[in-house]
Amino acid sequence: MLRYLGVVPLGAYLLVFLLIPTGELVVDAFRDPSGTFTLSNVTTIFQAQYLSSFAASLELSALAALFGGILGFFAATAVVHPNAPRLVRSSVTTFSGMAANFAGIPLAFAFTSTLGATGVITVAFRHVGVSLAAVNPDATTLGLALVYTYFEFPLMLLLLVPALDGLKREWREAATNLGASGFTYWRTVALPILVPSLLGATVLLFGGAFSAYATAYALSGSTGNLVTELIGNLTNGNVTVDPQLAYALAFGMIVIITVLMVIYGLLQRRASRWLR
Amino acid sequence: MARLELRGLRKQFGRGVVALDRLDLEVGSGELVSLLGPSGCGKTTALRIVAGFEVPDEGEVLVDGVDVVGLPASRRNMGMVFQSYSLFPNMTAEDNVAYPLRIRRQPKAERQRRSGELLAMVGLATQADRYPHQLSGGQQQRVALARALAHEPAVLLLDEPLSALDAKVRVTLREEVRRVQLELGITTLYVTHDQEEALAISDRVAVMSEGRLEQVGTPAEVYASPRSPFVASFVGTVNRLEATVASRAERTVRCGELVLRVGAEDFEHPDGTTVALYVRPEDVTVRPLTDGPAPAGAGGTVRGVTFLGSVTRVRVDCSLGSVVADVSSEEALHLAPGEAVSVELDPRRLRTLAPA
Repeated sequence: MLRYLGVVPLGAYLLVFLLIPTGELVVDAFRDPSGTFTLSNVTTIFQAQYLSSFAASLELSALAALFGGILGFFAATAVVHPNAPRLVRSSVTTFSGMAANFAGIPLAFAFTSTLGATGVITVAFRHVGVSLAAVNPDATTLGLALVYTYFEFPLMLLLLVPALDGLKREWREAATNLGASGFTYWRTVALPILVPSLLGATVLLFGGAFSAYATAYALSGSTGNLVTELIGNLTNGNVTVDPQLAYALAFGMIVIITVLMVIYGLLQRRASRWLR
Repeated sequence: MARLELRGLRKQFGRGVVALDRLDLEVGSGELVSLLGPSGCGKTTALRIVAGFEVPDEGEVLVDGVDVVGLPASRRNMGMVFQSYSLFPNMTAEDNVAYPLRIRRQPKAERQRRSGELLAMVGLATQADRYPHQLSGGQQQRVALARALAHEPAVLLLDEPLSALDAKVRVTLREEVRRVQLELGITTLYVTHDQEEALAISDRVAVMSEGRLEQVGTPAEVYASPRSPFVASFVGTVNRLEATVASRAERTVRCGELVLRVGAEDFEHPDGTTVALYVRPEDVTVRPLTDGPAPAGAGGTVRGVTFLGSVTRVRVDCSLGSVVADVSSEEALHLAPGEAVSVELDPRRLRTLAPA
């Protein structure tokens, strides 16, 4: 038993801040305000308006993970390139460390003042006859995805740099020596080796976007349709307060993330079979 | 089979670090030539230039008379085995070996046939479905060798392929590399810092120092007749003694109290000049002074005895200087530190060089 002593603090932390709150949330999702067991909260979230919220959250998370993932991957690849100046690597990773945590109200304001309906960039483009309405972060999923990309892509970069560092120079040289082009090397060697890291990082990006609240709330106020915004409105709203339904929505989020984690686990297992 | 020629290769890194200084070397068809030298002597740079991973500042790399310096590495038709394990970790041994054939879009059946054949040749037919991390270091290098040969390259390049392995595996594998090379008759350039390895497997050895070739010759030539102090001291263990030329005509030198007639024919030193006298430990005889009549050698005292297995290395301080001798371990039983001995040098094996 003594050998497990070292993990006691972590176990206690997880118990207090993850397991107990999650358990309470799940239990409360199946209770009415008087504390009696009910399925009505959970069945309510299957109504069209709530399903559309889940769809919007999933779409936004997928877009943000996709944009952030692709941008982060290429940025990380450029940063670790052997010919890249050292200064680039250190400055980009330092910036990424900061940008990955730049979310919430400051990020929302930054984008509203630049790409919002009256943002400086939007206005500047309007003067030359170009409309940026499609990427308006206040009003469109695409726009909101771009805002999320701002903190998602540096996170992807930070997660991928160690994985890319792990690609040995000899693998590239061996592939080249055996007749492979740069593209073929990436397709047949580098990417398959990176898939477990890429999958893990993408799931993390997806989860980050799926659970983000403050940025979206700051941009759309109480009119947002994301699940996290609905939960916020149902627990703190001025008009409709229904904590039980909020618990059920949060329970729905847990189920979705669990399903994603299972899919991720299966893919990861398949992609990393060469590691076993 | 191809002929490989390196002509006037020069390479400088950064400011003033000359890795290669006009290197000229020829590797004949089906020949195995080792580039031997200490770390930083430029041997790996030379190999990487041949492979196409480095571009020389000057010079040519000719394969059958055609300069390939302008060709990218992927189009040089060479196979290379790297120092560190370079197998693709996401592929099985079979897939690794079949990789160059896959790149060349060979049919799957042909790929399987060829990779099976090569894995059998390196003794790993039963490990075809193993991933690299499931193989030992020696097995990984065998697979790497098979992979480097799969596309029937014109030239095989090996960059210290055994240096990461333990001593016993190294010996087995170097014999295997040589067997495969002879079996296929492939032109091979082999880089190593291990002189024993180079001497054991090469047709010829090219000894390098500070970006230049010091000597090229068969292992026996390089070992027995070093042409420079560097080669004499780098290849094998050697005693370096100071001597004075007694007579150029008679090829005699005075070393300590002894006058020795040097066997080497290229004895060109003027009378009275100081020369460095080189003699291998196995060409030194050490006799206890208690053995019969007074010997003709230099008197000395045993300072150290190191058991090396079949031979024992004995260090003796004598009038010639400090001399090491390899004597059979059976004879060495009679030698102990502090014992008075006589030291004799085999004159046929003496080499003289102008002092460095």
